[in-house]
Amino acid sequence: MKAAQAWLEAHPRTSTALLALYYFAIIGGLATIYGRGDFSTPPFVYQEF
Amino acid sequence: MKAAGQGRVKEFCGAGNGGRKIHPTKRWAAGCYGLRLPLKTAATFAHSLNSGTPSQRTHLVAALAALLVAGGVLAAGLEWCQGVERGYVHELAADFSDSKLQGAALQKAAFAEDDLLILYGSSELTQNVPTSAEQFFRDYPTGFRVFPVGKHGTAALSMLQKVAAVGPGIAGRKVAHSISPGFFFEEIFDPGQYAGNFSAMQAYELAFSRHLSPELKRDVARRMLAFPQTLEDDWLLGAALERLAGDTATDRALYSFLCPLGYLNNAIGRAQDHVEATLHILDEEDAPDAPGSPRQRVRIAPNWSRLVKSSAQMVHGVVEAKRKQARKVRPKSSRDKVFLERVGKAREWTDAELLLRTFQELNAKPLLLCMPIEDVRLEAAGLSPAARDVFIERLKGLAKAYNFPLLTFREHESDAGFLSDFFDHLSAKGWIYYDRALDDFYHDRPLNTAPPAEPPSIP
Repeated sequence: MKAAQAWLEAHPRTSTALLALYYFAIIGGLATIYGRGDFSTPPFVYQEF
Repeated sequence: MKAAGQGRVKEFCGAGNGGRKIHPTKRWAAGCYGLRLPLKTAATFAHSLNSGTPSQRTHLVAALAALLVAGGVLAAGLEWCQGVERGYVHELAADFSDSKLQGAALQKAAFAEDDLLILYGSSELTQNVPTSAEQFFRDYPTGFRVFPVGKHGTAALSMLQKVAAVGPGIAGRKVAHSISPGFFFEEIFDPGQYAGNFSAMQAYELAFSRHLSPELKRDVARRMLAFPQTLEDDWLLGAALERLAGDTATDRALYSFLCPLGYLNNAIGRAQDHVEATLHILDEEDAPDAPGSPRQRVRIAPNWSRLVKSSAQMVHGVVEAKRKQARKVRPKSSRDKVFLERVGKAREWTDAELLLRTFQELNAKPLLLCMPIEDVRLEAAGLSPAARDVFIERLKGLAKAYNFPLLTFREHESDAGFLSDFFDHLSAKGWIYYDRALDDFYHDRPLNTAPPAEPPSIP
């Protein structure tokens, strides 16, 4: 764990890219969970006139 | 001054404090107070890029990059979705899914196509009749296909929200509207049917429309508030409609405050609509492999006289059944008084006028088609022809006020085979007359509802 942290500190660009990817995954996850709209309507009984 | 500001920013970020962590409350109080809050926040964000700790800078740069990429992916994805919609919209003429009826993306895509004629209506559109406009024009016999939009209980108030959601996409376009007289025969429209056709997305588009006048939005909002169960789970929509309906100076000011949220909501709704429409197209099992219609477009000049004759044979059983039922349910006394009271108070008149105003404000070119009230229906309901005349004349007056063409098919009132039942469902024969009217309308020919003349017999 410490070795990975040290490696990331030694490679700031890679670290930033990975962090961006992490944030992007969060945005994508949120969009997937909450992004879809609900276009369904409640069921109803057709009453003839 | 500048140094002092930077110091505060550094303190806020935890950098001007010797790296010591500050209590969150103090940090908030130090950085964000009074009316300076938004400015402080923006300044903090900008300065953090320069003066924050390396770790904070990395997070900010990464977050910005992720947001930019996400925005790019979203824009590209929506462009692709619109391409799919454009490619397959012709194939969705026979589709009555929620994506088509409750959204607006597919309707907008249909209005953008020159060889599609949108027909708004209600339950008559979903009946499986071989001569229905959707089936009759499926192979583009005269150069276009009919794209029906509507289902059971789609009355004028639901329809106008669909039209408003399409917005400027309908400007200058021809559109047909099938009117069911039965909606005008009840004082109050069934809330269950309205709820069954309600789309929050379309309602939002109307409430925060920039293409409709405040007066029209006010009048529509007052009608929509009569169905509060559709607004229960949506405080923003409910609040916007109440402010629109209130129409006082305070209401208008509060509505203006709500507008940015409404516009944001509409932007999200449109994106969701494109995604839903595309997913629906991709889900279709019988979707064609390539965009565009795989059907051959064979131009045929329909022989309307022959079509009417053959369809008349198809409705022979229907006519007998209707006459039998009329004799069975015929009331002993006249029901004219009750009927005229109901028609006089029907809220559908208000909604129909609002729909026509929507067409007018969006510069659409509508054709109104009203199914005839057949003599056999009058008999079954205990009504006189004079009661029917009251309805027809009022409808004509409404259409005339907006200068929209209206076809009432009065020549067919004595024909018990025009409709398949007493509930505004066209028969195979009735659809042929509708088809001819739609064909004439599309090709800018004079509109004619009379029975076609018999071709001269060959000696």
